Amino acid sequence: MKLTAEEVKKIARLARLKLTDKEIEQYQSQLSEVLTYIKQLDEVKGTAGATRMTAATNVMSDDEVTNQPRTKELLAGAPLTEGDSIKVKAVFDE
Amino acid sequence: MSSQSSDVSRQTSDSTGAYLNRYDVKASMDALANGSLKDVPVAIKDIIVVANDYPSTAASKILEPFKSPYDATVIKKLSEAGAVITGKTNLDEFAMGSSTENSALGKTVNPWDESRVPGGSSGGSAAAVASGDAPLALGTDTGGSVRQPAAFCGVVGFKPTYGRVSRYGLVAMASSLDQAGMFGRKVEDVATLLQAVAGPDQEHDATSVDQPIPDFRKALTGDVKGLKVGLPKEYFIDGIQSEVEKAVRTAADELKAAGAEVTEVSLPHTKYSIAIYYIIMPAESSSNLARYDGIRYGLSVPDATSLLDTYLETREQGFGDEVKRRIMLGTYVLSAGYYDAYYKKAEAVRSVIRQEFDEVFKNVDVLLTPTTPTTAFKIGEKTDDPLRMYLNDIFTVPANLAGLPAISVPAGFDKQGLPIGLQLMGKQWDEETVLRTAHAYESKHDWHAKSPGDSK
Repeated sequence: MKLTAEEVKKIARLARLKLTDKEIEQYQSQLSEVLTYIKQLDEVKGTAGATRMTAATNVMSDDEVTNQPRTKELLAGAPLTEGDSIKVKAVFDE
Repeated sequence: MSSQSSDVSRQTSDSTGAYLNRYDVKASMDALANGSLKDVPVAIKDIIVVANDYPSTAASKILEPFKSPYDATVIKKLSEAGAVITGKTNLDEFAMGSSTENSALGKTVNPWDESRVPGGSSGGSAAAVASGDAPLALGTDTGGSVRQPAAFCGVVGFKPTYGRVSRYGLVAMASSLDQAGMFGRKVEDVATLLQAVAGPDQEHDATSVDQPIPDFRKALTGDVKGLKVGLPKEYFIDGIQSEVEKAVRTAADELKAAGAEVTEVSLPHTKYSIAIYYIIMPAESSSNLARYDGIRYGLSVPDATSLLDTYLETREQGFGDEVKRRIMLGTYVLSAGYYDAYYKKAEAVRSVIRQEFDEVFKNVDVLLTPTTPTTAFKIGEKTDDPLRMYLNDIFTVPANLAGLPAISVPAGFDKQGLPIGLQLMGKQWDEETVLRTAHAYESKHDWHAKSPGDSK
């Protein structure tokens, strides 16, 4: 199987990636190669259900507020801020 | 420049490019011999966040300006144990790679041969320990990223059971596979480091588990009498370097001579490991890396025209080629109509792999295999062929899929003088047997005492 350029563009849109024409061409063949390789899993019939990594147990704690406000600290990493808010481009048209 | 530090461990310059940021610190190795980390230097893979004046980058342009407001749990525990952090080491961007060539921020070479890769993704941590810069280092292991560079650089590399060490503060790649791991020159030192960072972290990591924590150094008895060692035949395949196979088979004979019972076992679904891995890992990665949007922290492209444009431009400029490739692959296998065929199928076969290990571990205590099919490859040798690069992880990935503890121990050198690594895998939560076997093997050789640059 080989992915079409349109398929690669569609995945890129979903993944919020902007690709150059060269990248699209490159991913067409590289992703197709990997997808072909992983298709070998179809050989395995009959399986044991989903995986759970660890025997997790419930962790209980009292319903108390323990976190301190860290607004300044966290905003320090944001590229654009205004007051105590992070500034982003407008989502709606005026 | 100030005069040379009085401490031996800090005199080496960073000739291998092991560090992205090397801190100017004073440290001493004295306490290590007694199983203490007091003042002991530890290098940290730069995917583990540290709250200081230096950035925590994951070797990615998208995190290049990021300074963490908090310490990872493993960092907090190291500080409590008195360890000194020597700096942040290089890696493949977001730990995606097997050679450290995918770093967007630096180049690391193999201390034994500068024309070769140090392995990856924790290549900087492995090189820092191998070159003698730090006696210990932390890395992360999602598909072999501690064990494979340990093998390539001739040091000990250990991945504990999934859930043994907190993942809080490890920049997430594939959350069901990621685990912090340790590098050292000797098994004993690795046991000391494990002791310091092991344990549940119920406040911050719901997948960490409250299991009894043994004294790991006490497990190093040197005694393997009656130990049942399995050699899985699927790990001795065509294409494996003959010297690597010979080293592992010789190790089996040595363990036998020391009183262990060695038997051949079978794990028939091993051959599907890479296929499973290259569905689950990119799927989880693409979800985890969706958070890098240029809004809250890290790189942001200022002249974008809309919100969507901010995402697209930032991710275009911030992510490297391999990261984009895995995000694309992960997005594809999770997209509508493909989820059952890929992710669900991979999880189902993964459970078969786990069951197979459970069955084998009813009859043996530990599994002995090569860590990698070959010794360190040349820089640039595999960069144009992603699938070939991926297949390099064939022997290390299964332990991540099943959450098992696994170690790579130096097992000699090939004809070119490059280190060979052997791998031991154990039952979940049975780090002790893995460490005991590794230590017993190690104590019969002096490979761990050899350094790059010694006459061979």
